[in-house]
Amino acid sequence: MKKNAWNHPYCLTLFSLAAVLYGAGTAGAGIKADFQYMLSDFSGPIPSQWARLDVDRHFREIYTFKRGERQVQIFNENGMEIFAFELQDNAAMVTDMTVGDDGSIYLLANRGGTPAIITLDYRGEPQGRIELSGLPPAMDAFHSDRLVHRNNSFYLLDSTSLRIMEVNDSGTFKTLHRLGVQLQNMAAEQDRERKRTQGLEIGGFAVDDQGVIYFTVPVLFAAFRLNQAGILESFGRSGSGPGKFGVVSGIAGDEHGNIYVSDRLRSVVMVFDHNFEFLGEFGYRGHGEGNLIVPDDIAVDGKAGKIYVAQAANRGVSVFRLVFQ
Amino acid sequence: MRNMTFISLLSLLLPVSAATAQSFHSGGVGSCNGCHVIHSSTSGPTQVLLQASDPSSICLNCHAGSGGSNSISVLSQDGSALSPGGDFYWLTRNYSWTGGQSPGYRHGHNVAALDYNLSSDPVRIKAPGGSYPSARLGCTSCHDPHGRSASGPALAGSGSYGDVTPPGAALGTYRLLGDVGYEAGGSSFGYSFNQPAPVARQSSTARYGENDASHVDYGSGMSAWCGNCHAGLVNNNHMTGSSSFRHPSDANQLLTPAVIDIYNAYVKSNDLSGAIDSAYLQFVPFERGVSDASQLDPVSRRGPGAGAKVMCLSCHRAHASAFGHSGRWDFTAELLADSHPAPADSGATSNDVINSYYGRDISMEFGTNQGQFCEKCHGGQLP
Ligand code: HEC
Ligand code: HEC
Ligand code: HEC
Ligand code: HEC
Ligand code: HEC
Ligand code: HEC
Repeated sequence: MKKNAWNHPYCLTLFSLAAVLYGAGTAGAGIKADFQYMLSDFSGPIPSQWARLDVDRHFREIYTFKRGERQVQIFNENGMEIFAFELQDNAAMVTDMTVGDDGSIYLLANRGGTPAIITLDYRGEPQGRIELSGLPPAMDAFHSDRLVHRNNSFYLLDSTSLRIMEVNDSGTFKTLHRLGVQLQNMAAEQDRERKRTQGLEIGGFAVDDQGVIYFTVPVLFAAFRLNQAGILESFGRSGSGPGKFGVVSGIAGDEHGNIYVSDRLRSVVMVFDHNFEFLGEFGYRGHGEGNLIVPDDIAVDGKAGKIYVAQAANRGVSVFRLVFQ
Repeated sequence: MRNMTFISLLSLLLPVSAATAQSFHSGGVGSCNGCHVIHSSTSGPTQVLLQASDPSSICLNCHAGSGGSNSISVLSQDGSALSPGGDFYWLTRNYSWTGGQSPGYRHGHNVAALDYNLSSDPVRIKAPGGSYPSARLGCTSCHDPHGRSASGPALAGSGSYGDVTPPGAALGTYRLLGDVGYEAGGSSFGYSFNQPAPVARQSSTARYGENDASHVDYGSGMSAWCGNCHAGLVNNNHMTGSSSFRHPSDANQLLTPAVIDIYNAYVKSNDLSGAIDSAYLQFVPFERGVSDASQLDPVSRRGPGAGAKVMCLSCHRAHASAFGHSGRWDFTAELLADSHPAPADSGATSNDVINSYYGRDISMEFGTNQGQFCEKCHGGQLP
């Protein structure tokens, strides 16, 4: 199913568009984002609402999961759909999907409140379940809604209790990061008069190949990096100008430590270097091809220099090529 | 894309609080930057813009996502937001079966939020029993995005959890609901509320959850508040042009002693062995007739006593439900085990069936011969 880039239906518009984007679609001196195409099948771009994204680092394929339709779609490096299937077991609440280094698909299922990891092969055939084991006693109230597989581990997020759990490939407990106290303190600092801290939720969540965890907390107008030593750093300022945070959501890190943050309100993806210096942003609300509408999850394929952006308004997933200057 | 410029009222709002509030709204106006894109140019005046398809899409930037008892989501992709108001997800689900159907747009208030694939009611042009236009219906038709209270002083926090009002300050209204004078749907539209926000109290440990042991404890004023748009139903025993159903839902409709006795004894169809201390049923809430929220108890399972009232939310959900007319149960099923969505319906997932009754299996828990939940107040025999 390997296809030549020239066969892609959206390839021809690329050159004219790149010129427009350079001026209007990108701000900041450090980066240039060229719109490539939308993830498509033979009849055109595939609509989706806030699909979950993950890149198969080995085959350079991109996997999307539509939670509403319970559908997984796989696209080749030119953004053409090569395979799609719907989840069979109708009874499990599947809230997330991640891709293993061997192309296995892992689903996060919640049945009666306890998380379980279901393994599928790349054709969608069930391969079994990974049961979590060795959990500390307090863990039964862990309602996980996000799952990432990286660095031979699974990372499970409970976004409202502000906890991240690491288990190994066979489901055995490794670590629990309790972020509540640190985030509440930060909230209290931002807002001194009001003592009660409520409503903190983790929005975007990602882990890079080295096991560095990234996440956003939209209500704090902040993004976070949690390294393997357990040190939590944050950046971001609320505002409307370039590099400022409106309602931040998706986040991703590449192998150089650059950090990508999407903003639902401002409809941009911002790029920061590993020192949290703002490098530039692209997108902006609109219906042009390089524009974005309420971007959410993002996935970065560092080797191919590509960034995938899932959007709302049933707009589907836009693919950009990033050039650092 | 709708880019609106507001200059005149900016001065009115800015002094309140421009700081970042950790609990975002804090009962009042949260950081402007979470909802508006603000351009301050050196030449012209500062512009406060709404950058979205519509106002409701602004809210859903934060309020859409997976549900949970502490998740602020009211629009999930799988029906998991089992909140007291209900999940707008149900508006997107159409069910049909041999001999019947339950279209999504009948499942509740059709808010227009184009970024989130929600659109206005395709059939009704205005609120039954009122004049509010369906095309205008959105989150800010009911909720005040700036959380102003009619009664003056700066807001010190949420008014939804029964907190004691700090001296010299005020709390927000319950769930930021529009108060007397609220200009529902924007100040340029000119529709002003004349009924105050209701009094109710939610548990602060499960802020968006609902079950028999932890739920919103309703105090007073809900029917009157719904009457801001449905006045005809409140004043006319719930008579509408298109329906023959009659029921007292007036703000002053007390539960009679007979009704109170039945509620407290009723466990399920043909079982009146219950007791007042464990009588509360999440599907049939009532108002306790209390106007001071700190006297309400959201973790009490106690049934009604003297002063309790029937109200709109005794039978409906405020946002949406899995059933027609935003019902808390399926009004069309003689036996609730025959409710739709059912597993065999076209358009229904098994999660929809589970979530329709907030995770409770009606046949298992109440039996296959459980009748309409009207019985909770009226027993087997309707008056
Ligand atoms: C929770 C989201 C939210 C926050 C926070 C918010 N606004 Fe608004 N604002 C809105 C919406 C939505 C409207 C449009 C009202 C409508 O159409 O119903 C609006 C309208 C306005 C208007 C027009 C007047 C009106 O009431 O129609 C002004 C001026 C304004 N906002 C200023 C501000 C300022 C200044 C702040 C910060 C102190 C702020 N807003 C915070 C959501 C918000
Ligand atoms: C930037 C994110 C954000 C946006 C945008 C936002 N909200 Fe919220 N909302 C929150 C958070 C966080 C909470 C929980 C904390 C709190 O109650 O302030 C919340 C709570 C609420 C509550 C319960 C409040 C209470 O006191 O009980 C209501 C009602 C609500 N939001 C309505 C809206 C409406 C209507 C809009 C759009 C005009 C909106 N929100 C926009 C983040 C947001
Ligand atoms: C028809 C009026 C109405 C509309 C429209 C409406 N709400 Fe509500 N909302 C309510 C009422 C009433 C409650 C309190 C429900 C209860 O306690 O039973 C509520 C509760 C909430 C809550 C608390 C959680 C819950 O479900 O109880 C949030 C958050 C909220 N609304 C956000 C929104 C957002 C966002 C929108 C637009 C997408 C919206 N509402 C549209 C009336 C409305
Ligand atoms: C701001 C105005 C407004 C308020 C306040 C309001 N409604 Fe409505 N309601 C409407 C409109 C407009 C419609 C018709 C459009 C629709 O059904 O989506 C409607 C429709 C309904 C329906 C019919 C739904 C269906 O599809 O059959 C019910 C039931 C209902 N409202 C109950 C309530 C209750 C209960 C409250 C108070 C918690 C309430 N409403 C408050 C405006 C309002
Ligand atoms: C005792 C239960 C009960 C109470 C209390 C109640 N309703 Fe209803 N409501 C119903 C039922 C049942 C229907 C469906 C009637 C039918 O099938 O014709 C309905 C239908 C409606 C409709 C749709 C009417 C139409 O024309 O199709 C609206 C709007 C509505 N209710 C609003 C309200 C409001 C507002 C209140 C509070 C003032 C309220 N209801 C109180 C049970 C109730
Ligand atoms: C929260 C309690 C409650 C629920 C639930 C309830 N009712 Fe009632 N109902 C009352 C009260 C209180 C009255 C007025 C006192 C009386 O007549 O007993 C009443 C009166 C009535 C009457 C007499 C109306 C009249 O005009 O005289 C009928 C008929 C009725 N209810 C039918 C229903 C139906 C059908 C349902 C379910 C859709 C229902 N009720 C649900 C509390 C309730």
